[in-house]
Amino acid sequence: MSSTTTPSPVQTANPRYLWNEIVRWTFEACILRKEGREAKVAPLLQERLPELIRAWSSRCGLPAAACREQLTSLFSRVQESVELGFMQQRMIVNEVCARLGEQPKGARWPIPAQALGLRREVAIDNVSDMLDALGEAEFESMGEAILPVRRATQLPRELFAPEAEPSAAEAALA
Amino acid sequence: MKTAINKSASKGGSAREEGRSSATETIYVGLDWGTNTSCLMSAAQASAETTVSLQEKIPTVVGYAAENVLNRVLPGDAKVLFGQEALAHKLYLSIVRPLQGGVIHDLPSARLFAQHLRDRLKAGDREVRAVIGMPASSDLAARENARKAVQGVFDKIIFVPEPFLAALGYRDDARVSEGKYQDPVANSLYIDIGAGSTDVCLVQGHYPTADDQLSEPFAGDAVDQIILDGILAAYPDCGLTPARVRDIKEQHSFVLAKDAATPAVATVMVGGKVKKLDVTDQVGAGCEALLQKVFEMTRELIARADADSVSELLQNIIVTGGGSLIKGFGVALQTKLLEEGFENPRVRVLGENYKDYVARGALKAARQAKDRHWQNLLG
Ligand SMILES: Nc1ncnc2c1ncn2[C@@H]1O[C@H](COP(=O)(O)OP(=O)(O)OP(=O)(O)O)[C@@H](O)[C@H]1O
Repeated sequence: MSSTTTPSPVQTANPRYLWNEIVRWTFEACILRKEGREAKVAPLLQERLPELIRAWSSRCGLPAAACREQLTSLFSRVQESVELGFMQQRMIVNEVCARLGEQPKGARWPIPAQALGLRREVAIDNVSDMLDALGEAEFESMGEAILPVRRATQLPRELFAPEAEPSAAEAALA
Repeated sequence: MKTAINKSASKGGSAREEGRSSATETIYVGLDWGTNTSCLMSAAQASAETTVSLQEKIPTVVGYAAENVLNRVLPGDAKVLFGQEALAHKLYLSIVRPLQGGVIHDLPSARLFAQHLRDRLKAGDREVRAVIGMPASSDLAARENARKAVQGVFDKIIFVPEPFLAALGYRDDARVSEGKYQDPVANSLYIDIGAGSTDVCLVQGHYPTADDQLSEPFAGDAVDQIILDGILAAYPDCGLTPARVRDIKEQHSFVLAKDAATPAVATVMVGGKVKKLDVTDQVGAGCEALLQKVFEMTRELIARADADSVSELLQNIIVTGGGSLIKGFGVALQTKLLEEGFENPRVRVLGENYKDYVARGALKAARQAKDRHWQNLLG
C-alpha cells in the first residue's frame, strides 16, 4: 500500500487491540478448519492474519525473534484449546446420543437424522476437498443440532492482552 | 490412547508384541464394514502408493462360546471367535451379527469385532488411522455408534460414504492418462446392492451430492425375507432359518430365465422327517423383487441426470455388492432398461471382487487425507 493512501484501521490501531484481533482471528481460523470450512479459512490465513501480524509486529516494540516466539506460542495454545473443545463437543454429543438412544422405542429423535453426504460439488480427484466438504456437512448437521464447537471451546483468558488504556506512547502512535 | 478393550480382547496382548516396525510408524487402514462381510486393507504410511500389506475379507460375525462347551472344542478354548472361525464352530457358539442394514446394531459385539480387525493388523503400538465406509444413508446416530465401536481400537478415523469409496477404489489412477482408458468416474451410475440397503448414485466427475443418490433399505436381507415368507406359505412346518435361506439364495439366485437356474432344493426336517423341497420359485420371486426395485431406482436417477450426459451415462452402469452376484442380474437390468426405451444401455457387474473396491478406495483416501481430516478418538 502506498504511503499516500489513507491508513487502514489495522495500521493505526494500538498493539493491544491488534494482539487481541490476532487471537480472535486465529481462533476463528482454527474453528473453521475444524468445521471443515477450508474456503473460509484461506482468506483469514492469507490476508487478514498476515496484515494483523505485520501491523502488530511493527508496533509492539518487541524484537523480531520475540514476536515470532509469542506468535508461535499463541498458535499452538489456540489449536490446543480448539482441539480440546472439539473433544468436549464429541463427548457431549456422545452423551446426548446415548441418552436419546435410551428413550423408549418410538420416541422421536429430536436431532435431524442427517445422511452422510456432500452439500457442494467436489471433483473426484480432489480427495482432500471431498473430506473437507464431508466435514463441513457433518458439522453443520451435528454441531448446529447439539452444540457448536465454538461454544464448546474456551480460550484461556490470559491469551488476550489486558483491556487497559493504551500507554501514552501507544496513544501517540495511534 | 490404547484402552482396556485393546488389552482385554487381544489374546495376551499378542498384537502389541507382534508389532515389528518402529512404534512411530503409522498404519493406514481402509475398511468396508459390511453387514455380511467386511473387507480390511492396510498399508504402512511410508509404503509406496500402490502397496497393500494386508487384504482380508472377514464375515462380520462374532461368536460367543456357550457356557458348557467342552475344553479343546474351540480353538485355544477361546471365549469369543470371529469371522470364518466363528462360522466354522457355530454349533458351539451363540452367533451375533454386529451390523444390521449397514449400521451398528449390537455395540458390544461391534467393539469386539473392531478389536479383532485391529489384531489382524499386527500393528503393535503403532498408530492406526482408519477410513471407514458408511452407507450413504447412515444418520447421525449411526455414525456416533460407529465411532463408539472403534473408540480405543483405532487412533484416528474418518467416515466416508461407501459410494464415494467404491468410485475411488474402482478407478485405476495409473491408467487415467491413457487415451483408451474409460474413466469409470467420469460419467457413471453405480448400483450397490448390499445386505441391508441398495444405493444407487450418479458419479459424473464429482462426488455425488445428496441429489445424486438414492438409498433404499431393500436389499439382500429383504430378498431373504421374501424367500422365507414364500417357503413358509408353501411349507409351514419346514423350520427353515433366515441363515439357511441366505445360503440357499446365494447358491441358487437367479433372475430372468428360470430354465437356466440350478433348481433350488432345500433339505429340511418336516414333522421329524428329512425332506427335499424345491424352492426355485420362491428364490426367483425374491430376486425378481430386488431387480424391480433396482430398476425403479436406476430409472429415477437417470431422470435426474443432465439430458446431455444421459447417452454416455447409459454406457456406464456399474453394479456391485453381493446382490449383483445374482445370476443374470446385469443382463436382466439391461433388458429392462432397453424395454423402458433407454437407448443402448450397458450394464457391467463388478463380480466376486466387488468387496475390494470400497476398502481400496478407503485406503486411497487414508493416504491422501490431511491431518485436519482425522478425528481423534478419545481412549
Ligand atoms: N450369489 C449371490 N446371490 C445373491 N445374493 C448374494 C450372493 N452372494 C451374496 N449375496 C447377498 O449379498 C448381500 C451381501 O452383500 P454385500 O457383501 O455387498 O453387503 P454388505 O456390505 O455386507 O452389506 P451392506 O452393504 O448392506 O452393509 C447378502 O444379502 C448376501 O446374501
